[in-house]
Amino acid sequence: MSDVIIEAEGLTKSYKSQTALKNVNIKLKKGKIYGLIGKNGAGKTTLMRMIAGLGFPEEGSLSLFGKKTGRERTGEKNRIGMLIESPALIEGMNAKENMHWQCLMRGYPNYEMEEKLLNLVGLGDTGKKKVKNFSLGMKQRLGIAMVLLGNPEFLMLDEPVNGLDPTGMVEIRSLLKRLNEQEDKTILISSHNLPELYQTATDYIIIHEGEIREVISHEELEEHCKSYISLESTDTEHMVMVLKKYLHTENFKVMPDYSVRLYDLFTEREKIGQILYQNGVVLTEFSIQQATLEEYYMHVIGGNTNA
Amino acid sequence: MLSLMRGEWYQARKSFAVRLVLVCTIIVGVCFERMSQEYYIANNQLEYATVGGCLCSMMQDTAMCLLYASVFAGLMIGGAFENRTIQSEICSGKKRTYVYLAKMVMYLLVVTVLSLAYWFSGAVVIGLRYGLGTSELIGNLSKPEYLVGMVIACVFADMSLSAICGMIGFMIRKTGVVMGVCFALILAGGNLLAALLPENVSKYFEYTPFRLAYRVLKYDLTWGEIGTTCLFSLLWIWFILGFGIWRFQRTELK
Repeated sequence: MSDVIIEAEGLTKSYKSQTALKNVNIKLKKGKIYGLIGKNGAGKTTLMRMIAGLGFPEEGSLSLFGKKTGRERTGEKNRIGMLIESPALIEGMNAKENMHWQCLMRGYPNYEMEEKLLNLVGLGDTGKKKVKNFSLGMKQRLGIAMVLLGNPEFLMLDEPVNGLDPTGMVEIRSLLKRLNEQEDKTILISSHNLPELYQTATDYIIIHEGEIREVISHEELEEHCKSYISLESTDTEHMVMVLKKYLHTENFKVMPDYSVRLYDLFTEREKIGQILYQNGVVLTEFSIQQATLEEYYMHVIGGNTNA
Repeated sequence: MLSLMRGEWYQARKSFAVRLVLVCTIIVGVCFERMSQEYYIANNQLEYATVGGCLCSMMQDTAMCLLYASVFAGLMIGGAFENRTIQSEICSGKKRTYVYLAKMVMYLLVVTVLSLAYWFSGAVVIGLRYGLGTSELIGNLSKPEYLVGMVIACVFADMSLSAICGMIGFMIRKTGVVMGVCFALILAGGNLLAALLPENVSKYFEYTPFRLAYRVLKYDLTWGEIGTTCLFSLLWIWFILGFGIWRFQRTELK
């Protein structure tokens, strides 16, 4: 059996004059946690909506668990738990009633499972409190509990930690990791919270202006986000000249804040300091740092910050 | 489809709005009818002091049915898009046709129950006090079988009108806008059409959902009128649902 859960080939979608997705080709494989990264309007939600069947591509094909036609895909969707944009909640009902409605609608009412999932997301003691009186974080937790009903193999979550406090974020992160590691669930998470995503995902999909710019594993990202020596001086131009002339390196970048990132000579840190000092460069910063996912993302999309 | 219906039924059962409107309807219906009766009896209009006459006068108040249809098209259908429950049903692998049908069936059921509550809240009280009346007074409506036929035909006719509101709900998908558009557009549009259409065309207007109910709201009612009203109503419902499903299957959802 193929380990590909979702395969998109040449997906294209536009709204009026704006292209939301351009020839998107991706394969999501079983057992991974994919982080979908992109700024607002990059096409993340559009892609998720296509997978969910809420929107229709103009061109290209999409397969879920190897099923390509619309009718076959509909049948496979009960193997997917989706939380897109905001959770589907009936405000006039309490958490248990919402869970029960979701169970009835899906065709497998199970009070035991409802209770278990509510406890799992920390909403077991909300009693008769109506959802309209829930905080954003509580609604998000309830949405996640509803997604887990029916034990889906693939979870698709759009901004799942949106509105959660730091403790809630840690809990959801560990829950998702546990589901992935212990129950072999494949997860696709879209989030703007890149440090959070960095701690959760095993693979990253970078989408920009409707195009998939890069699909990269966590290991590859760590390789790309290599360490550098951060140098800051009162005279950046002079420091650059010294680096080139006396340290014979051009493997550095001048950042917009006039700091310099030096990507080699890690073993000769003392020598760097000494030569710069001897040539009249006054250093205000000298440290070893590592690029973040955020910086790598900006680098891929051609933003201001470079990794 | 069955699981969707169970989900819809659970929602309707738990809905505070449905319960509130039902209770208010019964209270308003009883009060309204008691006040009217006193007036009619004082003016010697005894035909209204019968079940048939009372039902007829209550059913002629189609604006009330339209009000229920508009309010619940907004709450049950527009609201379901806003709280994303319809999107959730589609995401969980339910066919759009079934999602549409389940929602529409429950919506039509709720509107029908409320309309029946409105019609019968007064008629039951009258029936207990004055009985069915005589054929000299209210013609065929003194006979229970004609009363049942009239109510069934009127239910179907109102369903065809409500189906338009439901379809608008699926098209607009915003609670407040759906309510406003359904009520204002249909009420004003229906009356405007009736006034503007030339006479040779307007005679067919009574076969549209806007006027179908009026075909059976008379004392000298015949089985032919009951039958054709039911038939045209069902045809309209079938057509509106079909068009709605066709359109919903092509609708992009947020």
